[in-house]
Amino acid sequence: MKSIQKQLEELKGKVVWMASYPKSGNTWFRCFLSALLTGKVDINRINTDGIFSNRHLFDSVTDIDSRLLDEDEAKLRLSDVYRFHLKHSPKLEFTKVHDAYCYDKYGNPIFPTDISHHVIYLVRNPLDIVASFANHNNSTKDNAIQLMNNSNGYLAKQKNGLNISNQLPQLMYDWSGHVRSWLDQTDIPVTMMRYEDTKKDAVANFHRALTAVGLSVSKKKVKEAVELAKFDKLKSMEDEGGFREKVATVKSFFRSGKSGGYKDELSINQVDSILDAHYQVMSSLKYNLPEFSFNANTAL
Amino acid sequence: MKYQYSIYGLKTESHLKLGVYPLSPFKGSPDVMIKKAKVRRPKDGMKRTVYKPYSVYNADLYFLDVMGIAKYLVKGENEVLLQKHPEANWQDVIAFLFDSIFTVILVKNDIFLFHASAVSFGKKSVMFCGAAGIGKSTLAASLAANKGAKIIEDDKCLVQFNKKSGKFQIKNQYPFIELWKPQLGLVKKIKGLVPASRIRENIQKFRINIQGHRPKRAINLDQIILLNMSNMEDRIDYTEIKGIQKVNVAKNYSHMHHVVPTLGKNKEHFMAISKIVQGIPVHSINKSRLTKLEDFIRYIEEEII
Repeated sequence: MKSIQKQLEELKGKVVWMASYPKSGNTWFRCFLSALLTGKVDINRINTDGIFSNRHLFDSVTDIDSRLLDEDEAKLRLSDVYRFHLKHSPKLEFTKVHDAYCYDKYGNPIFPTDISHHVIYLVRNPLDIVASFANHNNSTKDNAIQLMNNSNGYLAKQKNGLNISNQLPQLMYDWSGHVRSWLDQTDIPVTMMRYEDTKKDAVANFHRALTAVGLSVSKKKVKEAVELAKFDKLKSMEDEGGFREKVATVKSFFRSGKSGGYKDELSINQVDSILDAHYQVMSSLKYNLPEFSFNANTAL
Repeated sequence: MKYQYSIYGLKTESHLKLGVYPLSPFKGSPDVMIKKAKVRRPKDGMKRTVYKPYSVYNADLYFLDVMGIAKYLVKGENEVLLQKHPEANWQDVIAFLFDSIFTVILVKNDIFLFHASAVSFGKKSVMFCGAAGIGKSTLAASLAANKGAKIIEDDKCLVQFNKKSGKFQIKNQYPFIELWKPQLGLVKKIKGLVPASRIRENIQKFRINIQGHRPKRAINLDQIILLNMSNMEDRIDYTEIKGIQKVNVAKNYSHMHHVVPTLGKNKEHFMAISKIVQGIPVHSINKSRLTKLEDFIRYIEEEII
């Protein structure tokens, strides 16, 4: 079997998009990959290839200050920025994405198909996302739900036209819109990974994702990497040395990582609000309705 | 019709009126000419040339295509050609001319701007260097609004040696500060500022004239502070940088420093920065994103200035 590094080099010039709605296990997957590639995990030096919305990369490739561009103007350039970036990369890249699969003003996808090798779409029960997303945004759970239910939802879009975030604004739609945008597109092959399945059997699911990407790695190696990237280890790393990807205003990035934790954290109204908005997509992803929900049962 | 300006000391003649930039008539021949002309992307295959999606540059030329706005070409040390996109407006063409192209023509003339804002307290001045978005302008405006500082320069600073005093000094060259809409409240608290105009129609960033506020004379530069932001806990780390590290670190705070080597100005850049930082203390401040602006300004006021 060829080494993983050799296999990545053979696929240079291409990218695997690790796409997800926030708080759906993207960082966990990136830590796993980092462990697989380097044999260790340092959460502040995750050895994957950054985020698609990285403003610094955009500015250094375009030679202009992207703060002077509006969203449409920036979107028109994103494909070229990534093509150029990959041209100079020695290996297949794994790049994190929170944008929905969306288009520029001329109707072209912002993710260029010619360099896109695969999409790993990480999905998590939206009921479990709420509390974690609220913590991430330093907001209330109701505010998190409002964003998850907003069909024009954004990440890193600042108020009053302020445009100084170190990430470009990312259009996410609402939670269902985000899921559909990636799973319904047919331009790039996509593998869906449910967070809950990965929690149950991380080795099998990470191995399945690597195989789908075309990488041949033994289950033994995957198991070793899974051990290194266990949730409690990542959490204690953050407790000891902080995590640079955390939004500064919140206490911690790694919270509980539990599946089904929403039962202790959300009110019935909050659960209903999510179910009303996302019942169809949740059902299609085999997320069961909670028994105590009233409105959603009526919706049935 | 030709318009004459002094752009960071370079006598500049332009076919294009540079918006609100103050005219500055001069005698003799210009150092730089800005002309409207047809501009094409340079051909592929040139040696020692960087080819990017929207720019091409080497020791002889710098080409930039700001899609939908204009194409720009800097030829040698003294010529800027520009071609406006048919649907663009001149205000936008000028915004990108100020942003990148001026810096390139200055580098070609061995003039290196710090990506920095500078303020003075009486005869003392401090220059805050940092990447776009780190808060240089807001910091300068806050110090002016709340602590009585004068804004000498915003966003790009030219540090020059004064032979008489034997000191490095900063004098205002670009008579504007640029602030985002949420920070415009600060402007009302600063005497001598003229109300704002947008930099671009679709961008909420405003250009405010500081001609009535800025110090009229050059001020000695007493300290250089390099600003960095981290996502770690609410903490400010303040460290003095010493020895050759001063040059190595400070040169990365030149505006558009990444193009300098390919423009063939590496040695000149190193020498220029080296002379400046030799006699001036250089400190680095690592500020958490968690730190509130007022706490940060209080820290600067009490611990540094």
